Amino acid sequence: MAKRVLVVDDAAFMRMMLKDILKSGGYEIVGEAGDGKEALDAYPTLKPDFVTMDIVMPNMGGLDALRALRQADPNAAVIMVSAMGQDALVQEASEAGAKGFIIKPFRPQAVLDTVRGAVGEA
Amino acid sequence: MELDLSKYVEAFSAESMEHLQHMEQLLLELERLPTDERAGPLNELFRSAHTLKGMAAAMEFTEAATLAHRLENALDTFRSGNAALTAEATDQMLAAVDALGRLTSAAVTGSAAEVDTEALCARLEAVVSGAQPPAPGEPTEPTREPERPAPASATGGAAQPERIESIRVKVDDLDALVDQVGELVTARSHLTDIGERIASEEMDEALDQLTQITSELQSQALRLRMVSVARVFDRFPRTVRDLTRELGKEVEFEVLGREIELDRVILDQLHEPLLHLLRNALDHGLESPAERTRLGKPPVGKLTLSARREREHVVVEVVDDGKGMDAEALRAKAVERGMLTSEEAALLTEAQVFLLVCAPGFSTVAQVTQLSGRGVGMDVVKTAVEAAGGTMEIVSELGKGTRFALHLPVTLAIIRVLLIRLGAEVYGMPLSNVQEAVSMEDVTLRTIGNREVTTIRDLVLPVLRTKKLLEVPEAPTNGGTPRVLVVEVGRQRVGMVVDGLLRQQEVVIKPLSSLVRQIRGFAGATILGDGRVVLVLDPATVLAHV
Repeated sequence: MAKRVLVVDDAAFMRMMLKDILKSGGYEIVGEAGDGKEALDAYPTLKPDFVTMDIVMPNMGGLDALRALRQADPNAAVIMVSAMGQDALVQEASEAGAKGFIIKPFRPQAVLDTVRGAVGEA
Repeated sequence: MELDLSKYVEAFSAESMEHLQHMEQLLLELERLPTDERAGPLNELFRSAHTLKGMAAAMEFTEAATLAHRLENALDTFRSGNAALTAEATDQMLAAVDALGRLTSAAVTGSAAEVDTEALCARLEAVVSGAQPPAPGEPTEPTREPERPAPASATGGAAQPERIESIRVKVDDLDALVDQVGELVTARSHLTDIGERIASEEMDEALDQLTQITSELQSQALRLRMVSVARVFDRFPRTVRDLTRELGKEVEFEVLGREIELDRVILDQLHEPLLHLLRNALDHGLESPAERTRLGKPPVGKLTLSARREREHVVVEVVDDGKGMDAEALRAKAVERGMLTSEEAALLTEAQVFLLVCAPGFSTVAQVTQLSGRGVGMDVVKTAVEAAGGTMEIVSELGKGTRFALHLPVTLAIIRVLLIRLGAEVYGMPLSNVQEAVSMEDVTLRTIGNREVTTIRDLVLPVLRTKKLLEVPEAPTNGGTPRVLVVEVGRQRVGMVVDGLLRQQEVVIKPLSSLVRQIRGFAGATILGDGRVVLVLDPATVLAHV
């Protein structure tokens, strides 16, 4: 069965792009969320195999959501989505238990390589 | 896998425009907030710039991404309290947001935008580095993350990812749908007429059902075309800000009733007239801060743009607390310019006098502008409002201010008319303008001066001989009793004499061809169920005719 993913980003447009890339790699999209809070709400019901998490979002940003998710489920696999040049945040996210980093703008092959490296084949 | 970027263009365009509009609103809001309340909007602005940067980069719109990136940097400096947010800084950031709008729409259409990104960024960075951070002792930007109300989420909840909540439809397609529904309504009327002649119970039942479905379809189709006035209103805070800075005035601009909905076709025609009214209010209506202080008024003027629903209409108002208009000076000017005799001028009510500024060419006279406090081009405003099926009313008090009220129909497409008989002919009268119909027998006519008047419910009304006014030939009327219709336009009321009433009907109004459009007094024509073409009166122009 394909691995199931929850896509979190405040921009619907970015979610759309990322979903297409992940689908092309054989992953199943089980849900999407527009900020950290929505992601936390959706996580327990959707029980995704992994989460892609944008960093800069309203209400609750990606770093806070990452910490909260890992606290609720120590096995939560979260791949952060960051823009280039957010090195300090990348460091912080690694320490908080992020499984990997997808860099914007997306290059499909690089995105899929990162995801496979972090959570395995679809 | 290769990403086909063209697939994402529309989504990118819609979402980036939302961000840009939101950023403009936030920038305008920031200026009015005290320093210690700015952190929230600044964080929001920063996030929007950041998101835009990411989106533009994903679409490989390099120039827009660069500009968004530099704006993001500037915003970061402001939100960390390392530079003071001056009016010049806001100017530059607004300019950057404008430029981003041009860059993204150009990128979307694949054309080139005339934007000098480098110069723009240089100016932006100059105001940032030139602006001193707030001096010690002044309140500084708080560093805590402020609480914000949750912005409306467009995701429709995380649990139902595949359900699409809204789709985009081409305006032309929507208009075509509304037109077709209009044709359906006409066809139904035709069927109803036939049904009456056939007198079959089965037919009646089927017709009732058809009538109900058509009515629902019609109101649903029309609802699709309704948009909130915010679509137009939200452009004005920026315009007002720029104009007040340019004119050296100070004003508190308030926008009310953004959520009120109007047919898009009407709303489209509203931007220009409203822009004109606001500009006039700022330029000619409101006094300078010094002048206001001298007059004992608060130095900051007040300007309000509002919308509200009033029965069948939407009323849009522009209200200022400036100089007001001088009715006596306007009367004198109208006489001097030969538009009216002094007797005629004396007979006009104040409301009618104020509307004189809308007469073509009247207000182009500089002296009048000074005396009346109103600028050029009011005729354009009035014409545009009437083209949208509305009327304008002006209330003003010298020294206190002026109120422009536009009474607009909610929708243009289908209206209820009262079919009236004039001689042997049938005309339509929009029902929203008709207050009541009083039998001619119950009405006592008197003559004041050379005008006929009557009193209905303690109200003295001028009476119009409609047939004479419209030059309808005298002829025996096919049934019905003569009546006086109490017709209301804005706050003006008149009695209109008709030879009889036929019935009420929903009709689709078709514009008159350009050949007959010059004839004032008619809003358009409609086709009745039996194929008869009927002219529909436009009460506003009928009254102006008087």
